[in-house]
Amino acid sequence: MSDILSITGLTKQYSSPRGKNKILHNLHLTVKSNEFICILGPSGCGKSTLLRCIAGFEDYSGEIICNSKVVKKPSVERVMVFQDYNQLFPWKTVEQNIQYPMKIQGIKDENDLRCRCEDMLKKVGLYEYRKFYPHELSGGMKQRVAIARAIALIPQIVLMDEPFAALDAITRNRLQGELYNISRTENMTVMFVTHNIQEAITLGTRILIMNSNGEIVVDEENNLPHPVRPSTKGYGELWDRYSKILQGVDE
Amino acid sequence: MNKENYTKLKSRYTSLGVQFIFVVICCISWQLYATSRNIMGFPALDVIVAHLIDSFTSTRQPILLYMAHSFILIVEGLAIGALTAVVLSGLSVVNNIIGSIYRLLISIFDLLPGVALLPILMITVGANDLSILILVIHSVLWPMSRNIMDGFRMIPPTYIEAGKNYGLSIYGLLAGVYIPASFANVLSGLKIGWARAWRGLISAEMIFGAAQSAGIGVYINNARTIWLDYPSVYGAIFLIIIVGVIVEYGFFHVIESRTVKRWGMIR
Amino acid sequence: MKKIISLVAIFVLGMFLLQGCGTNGQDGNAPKKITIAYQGGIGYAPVHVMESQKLIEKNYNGNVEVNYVKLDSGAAINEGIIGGTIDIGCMGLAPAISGVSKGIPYKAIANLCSQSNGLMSNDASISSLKQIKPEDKIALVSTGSIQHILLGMAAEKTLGDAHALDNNIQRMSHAEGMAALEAGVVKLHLTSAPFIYQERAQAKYIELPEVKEAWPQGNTFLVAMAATTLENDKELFEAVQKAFAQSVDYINSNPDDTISIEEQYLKLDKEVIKSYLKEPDCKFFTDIRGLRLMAEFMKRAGFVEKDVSKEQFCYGGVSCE
Repeated sequence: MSDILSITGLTKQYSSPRGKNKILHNLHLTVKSNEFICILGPSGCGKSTLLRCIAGFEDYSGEIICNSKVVKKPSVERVMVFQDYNQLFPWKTVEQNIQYPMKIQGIKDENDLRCRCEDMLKKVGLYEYRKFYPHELSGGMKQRVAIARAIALIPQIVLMDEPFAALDAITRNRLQGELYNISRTENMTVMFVTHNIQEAITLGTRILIMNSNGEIVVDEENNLPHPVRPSTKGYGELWDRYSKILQGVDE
Repeated sequence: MNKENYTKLKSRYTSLGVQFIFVVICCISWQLYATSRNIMGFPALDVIVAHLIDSFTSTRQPILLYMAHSFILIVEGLAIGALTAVVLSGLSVVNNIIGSIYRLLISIFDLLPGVALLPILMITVGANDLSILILVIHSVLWPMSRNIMDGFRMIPPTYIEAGKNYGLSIYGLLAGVYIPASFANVLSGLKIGWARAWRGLISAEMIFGAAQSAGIGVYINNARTIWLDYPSVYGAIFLIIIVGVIVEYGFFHVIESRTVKRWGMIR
Repeated sequence: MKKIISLVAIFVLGMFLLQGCGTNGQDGNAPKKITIAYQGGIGYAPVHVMESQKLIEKNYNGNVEVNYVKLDSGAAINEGIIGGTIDIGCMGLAPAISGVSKGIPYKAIANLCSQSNGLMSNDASISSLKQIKPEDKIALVSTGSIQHILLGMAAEKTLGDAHALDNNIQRMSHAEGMAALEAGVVKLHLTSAPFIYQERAQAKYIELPEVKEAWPQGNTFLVAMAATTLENDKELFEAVQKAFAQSVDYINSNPDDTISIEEQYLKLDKEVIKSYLKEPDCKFFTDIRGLRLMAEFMKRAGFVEKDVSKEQFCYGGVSCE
């Protein structure tokens, strides 16, 4: 597997009235194609900031190289799915929301646009809702459309910042399963930030844990067989271990 | 058709009914009072309506021509003002220097009533349609710009980041995200601009309206000073109200229900 | 049920408010109140004298409170009389004729003055009405004003159509019109004393003779119109009429005191006021001169629908021709 993304010496600090506040400190990371990386960590550890740096929303020092190019600004190669439901444009229908970024990318052929859009909507199970406006959808539906919109662009890497955090547990479980399956059939590379251990174990092929100084303290493959359920052998021990590490790094 | 829709529809018709009954009561009170006291300056409704209908066909005072003259000026001014407001507010997003100067201009000019500028316009531009047009543009430009800029500030950052993520340039972001995301503000700015433009135009026409630029304000003034025809004054005021109501319900409400209401951005 | 109650409440409140306006109850002990409205200019000197010398109060045997208000057009005064907030309004002869013709409940109680009027041009190529092109603007104080009617009279005589220049009219106050003539925003300005004196003094302006000639020197310029309700109060009516006569006498017999009074009202230099009062057209008298001339013209030219006779225009005892 080839490297999609390599990060060397990434440092990010915010200036606040009380002085400079380092969020990320000399961080190194390499992401291979088709990996599903889940990043766990306490609040404020910089896991979202890491994602935003990769997406190109933030200035940083160090080096981020994606697909042999230095990351300087946002690009469709690295598509972000936000936690906020308000990432779909409310003035566009579900269908238009998915097609609009493709149109920006220069895909003009109506047939092509429609086929890809329908394909994606069928994958997330919202084909019947293609003419709806976002405000007519539930939170879970909106996040599914957001995921469909991101995947339709065939990005090098999909960045997901706690997209399911605001959903109820049942919806979240269902969406986790859907996302994992789509990511495997589409050969997606995903970086998924969460503070939910269950979510990380269920989704990740590789799991990172960051401490509150913005350092990676755990970086390991997740070898539990899919689909991962709480009853899966080894789940309990993994959960306990991560939970203890997280409690430790939060102090 | 579910229950929620039914309730909505029902409350809408109830509200229409209440408004209708209110208007009828006002008309009846007016008519009773006017006929019982017979004051020259307070004509009865049937007299006003008869005068108004007469003035539709009159050659001496064809009220619709006067109204059309004002209306065309307003629409021209509204179009120019709204377009300028959108473009300049957009440029303020693109360029910080333009932005800070433009915000200063808005805070200076938004509080200046157009009528206060009349003496200056009269001396520099002359008392003509151009002066009135400038006045209308002035009435639209500043409140609308203020509304749009406020709207820009309230856009959820996620929309903008998503737009950037999909490769939109700054101008693409303006057209594709900023304007539609603040469209409710664009519309309310347009509404305020429209109301201020009407007031500004009619005041200007009543103050210095030249006979050649015969707008509805000139009509009112002629009715008042030459013809001493108070029913026509009331008639012209009614016509202004009718045009206002038609624009409100036939234009603004239609646009609203096809855009921001459908998008769930306002109730 | 709630809705019905609130609708009834609105109805009752509405009727109550409508009944409320316009009723102006007076009980016996309170002073009688009358309001006199006038406009700006030296032609209103009799009103200034009346106010400063308290002539109405002196002539009325009883308790009266006289309120003086300055308005900016005859139309505004007409509206005040119709609405019952003004009892006596001083205005140009033309709006008064229009008002009587239209049935505004007032009649002339006294004449105030004659004044000079004229049409000035700032363009050397315009020295007659015949040379005015459609795009040349004529500033004057208001449509329906005496200046407008004088323009119509001149246009009828010179051009054969009283309304030939109506589309050239640009409404501006006298002072604004003078500034606009100076700035070149308008080509012509039709104005009255004292502005006309200032413009005539400037060599760069040309006077078009037709307007000056249209209204014979010494004819009425301003009149005082009293609401018909005042006639019901004979004593007060006579006091007002006497006050107007006395103030005109005062002006004619005490020019120096008049200048001092006018200095306060007009905020002008004494010498300037003195020169205005010496102008041959500036005369103060109580009889109305030229009513029929103007009323006939206004009827003929369509400014009014009904002719106005002396009896319709004046109270008995006011001499009029």
